[in-house]
Amino acid sequence: MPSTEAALLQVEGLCSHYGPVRVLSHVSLAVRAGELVAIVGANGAGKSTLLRSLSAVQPKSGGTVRFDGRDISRLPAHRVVAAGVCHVPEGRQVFAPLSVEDNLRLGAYLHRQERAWVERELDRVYTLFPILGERRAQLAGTLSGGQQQMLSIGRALLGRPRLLLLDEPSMGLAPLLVEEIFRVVRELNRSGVTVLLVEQNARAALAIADRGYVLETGRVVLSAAASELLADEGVRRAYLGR
Amino acid sequence: MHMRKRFFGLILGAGVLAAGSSFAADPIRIGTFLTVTGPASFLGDPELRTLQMYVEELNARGGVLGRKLELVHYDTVGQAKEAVTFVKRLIQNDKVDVIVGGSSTGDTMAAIPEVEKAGIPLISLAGGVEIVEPVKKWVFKTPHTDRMAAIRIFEDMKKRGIRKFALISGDGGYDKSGRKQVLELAPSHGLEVVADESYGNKDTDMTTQLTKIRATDAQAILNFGFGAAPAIVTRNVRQLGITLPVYQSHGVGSKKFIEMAGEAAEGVRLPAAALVVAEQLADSDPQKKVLLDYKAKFQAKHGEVSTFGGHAYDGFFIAVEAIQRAGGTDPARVRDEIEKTRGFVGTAGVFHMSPQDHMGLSVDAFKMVEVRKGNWVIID
Amino acid sequence: MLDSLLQFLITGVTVGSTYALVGLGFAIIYNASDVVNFAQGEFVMIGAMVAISLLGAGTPFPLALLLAVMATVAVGLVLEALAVEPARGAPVVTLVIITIGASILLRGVALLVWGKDFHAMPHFSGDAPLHLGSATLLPQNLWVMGGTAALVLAVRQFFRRTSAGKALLACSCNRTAAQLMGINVRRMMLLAYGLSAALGAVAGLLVAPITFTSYDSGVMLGLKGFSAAILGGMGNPMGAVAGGLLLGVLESLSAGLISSGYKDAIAFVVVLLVLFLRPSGLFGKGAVERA
Repeated sequence: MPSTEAALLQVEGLCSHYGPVRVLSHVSLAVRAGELVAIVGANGAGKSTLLRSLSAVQPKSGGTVRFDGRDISRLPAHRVVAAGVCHVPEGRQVFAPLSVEDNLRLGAYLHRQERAWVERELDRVYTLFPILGERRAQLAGTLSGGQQQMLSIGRALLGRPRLLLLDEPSMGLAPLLVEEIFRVVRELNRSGVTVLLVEQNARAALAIADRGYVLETGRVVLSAAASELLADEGVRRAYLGR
Repeated sequence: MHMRKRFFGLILGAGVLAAGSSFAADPIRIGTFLTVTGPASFLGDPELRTLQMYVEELNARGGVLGRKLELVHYDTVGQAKEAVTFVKRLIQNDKVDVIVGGSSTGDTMAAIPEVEKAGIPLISLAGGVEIVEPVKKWVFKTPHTDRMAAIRIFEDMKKRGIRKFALISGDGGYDKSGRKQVLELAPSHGLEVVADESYGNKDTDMTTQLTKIRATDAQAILNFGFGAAPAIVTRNVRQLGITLPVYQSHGVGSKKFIEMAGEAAEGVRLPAAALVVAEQLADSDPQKKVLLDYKAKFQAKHGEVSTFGGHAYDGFFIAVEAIQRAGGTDPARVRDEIEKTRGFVGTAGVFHMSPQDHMGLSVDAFKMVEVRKGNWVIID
Repeated sequence: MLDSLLQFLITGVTVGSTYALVGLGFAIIYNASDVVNFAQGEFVMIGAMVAISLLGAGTPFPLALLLAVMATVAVGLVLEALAVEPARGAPVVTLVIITIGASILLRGVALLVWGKDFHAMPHFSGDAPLHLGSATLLPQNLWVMGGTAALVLAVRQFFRRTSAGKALLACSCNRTAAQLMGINVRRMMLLAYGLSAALGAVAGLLVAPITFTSYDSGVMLGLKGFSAAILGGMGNPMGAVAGGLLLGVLESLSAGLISSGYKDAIAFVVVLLVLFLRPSGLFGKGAVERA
């Protein structure tokens, strides 16, 4: 276990149920400011549920979530976002019938009064993902999968994240695009955004992460520096396809 | 409001007993099934209030033949199927001596086989001619019919030299029955129906139908309708600048119509029940006293009278008087006495029943009225 | 004939305008929550009834109208908060049944408060007919058409230009994602119900002088508005408006050119035909929410 001091996100004993089925079982983890932490695990291990519970779009059945020292366990989803936790959901979930720019502006919904900041931030996202700038007037639903992923990330960035939750950003993308997305995630983290990344593509995720957690059937079974996990025999066999 | 369906009369009866009057013999049971709630509550509501009012009054005066009156009521909510069930219950369980009711023609027709089988006299409060034509042994009715209304309108048209008119009617039971009578009877009165338009009773604009009528050579417009629609028709006629005389049916015979149609109602003619124009009747008119009495009593307790409540008054007293003449509640004798009703002065007119006529009203029971300066004026 | 045709069109557009406003209310709530709110017609009735009562009590005209809209909005908010919200997460069918129950309740309350009578409201600006060739129309017809046009444009701008409108659209296409943007979905539902109630109330105020209002006059308008929304493609606000106008004109033309007895049947058949050929309605999904 890493030291809990100065942790930006501190999760203790988090549980979650779908009906009678327990999906998360006393998950504890921590993310320090500036870190890029990866959560890897098989399909159905509860990775997405973990992120959904953190951002309160999925009810928690136990445990506490502290963010920057403040208990956010009971906050409704929109207040969690206001606290600075922005979530890029699995499957992009862009607003298909709205334009690219409308999607991005909705990302800045809580900061809509700060016009100048929003415009600057929009420019920053368009610089980060030039293709979005070219297609700003296009409907989000007509973008390719990779472009939608960029849009989803860009949208979260406009929420002014202090912690970015990324759920399977590589899913369904061509290898070249996966590389591109991970490059951007790395870049974002270097520029100061704390990232909690959930990925099935464990190799790519651990390659850019500082630390990693391995989730198995709703429990944390292993946590270590990313490089150690990459070298771990068990992890290699189970998640790295070798 | 009237969620409780039954036995208001029983409670009432119990109250009278508790008040100290004592009655030796069994009570006289009067059964009734009315549409007190639901879409046709405007019929059953004043009818039931009227029956309750007079049962209470007669009991306070010592009942009939020294026996207490007891009203047994069921609310059919306008469902003919319910009516059958309730009439069976009235006859078999409640063992009523006579039935006053059926607010609607549908409810009444559904109940007829039951009373005919059981041999219990029934006096319906519904308008349809088919209730008493052909004559059924045990079945009578008090309201005037839409046929009488149509004939009255035709007579007036002829007096004004009108030969061709346009008909516009709604899609309700009342409207359809009226339309049928008008179409059937017009030729025999030398009148031609040059347009036959219809509308939905909930429609909010009839200018389309009236535009079509405007394009015909009609000399008058006859609207057979009920509720808000006739007021809309009347206003639409004036809006379109149509200057033809407008006739409405007896279905609009209330102040509400004038209020809703406003200026446009001026000059509209219709056959109205005497109750609507009671104050204007000649003092020599035998109905005047009955009407004013009923009106005063009802309005003191419940507000504006309607002709429907009047039908209940007629039905109730025809039944009570027949029981008095029969000297008891033997169904066959009561039936015979109802049939022998002669010169009974009711709210709908003076009743002369006979074995061939189980309604006993003549066409002149309707008064032809015209709207002048926001009020009804008797013109015939 | 041409004059008659013009009259049929005037009638059709006036009647259709009301359908359009009611349909728009259906579309907004359906969009926001997938629920068909069958109490929509009752909003129309309540708006008119409250205004008539206030006018009867001597309230100045504009104030009475404003208060009537506010009262109806309050009813809409209460409906959402007390009936719809507690059942959140229940199947859509359950929610639809709740709205049907609410509509029956609202009718019952209206019956108690205003009785069974029809109530008339004065015209906004007189009832002297205006002439257009040999066709005529009332000043109130212009109010209905103009008021509808203004509201429809306002709603369109609301969805296109304001962040609240965009947020409502976001909720309608992806509730979870909307929450992740920091949008208070709960408040957006209230907004949707309030907005629909306001639209219904205004429709009621505009037509009340022409049509009279009774406790149950919301039933028919609700059904027609629902047909309009279906015809236009449920969930497309501008489609619902087009559907409403189309339905009104269709009824009027069928009554005028074919038979007044079959006008509702003809309109119904056309609606069915459209749905048969284009199950998602004339402007169904795809073009949705681009409004």
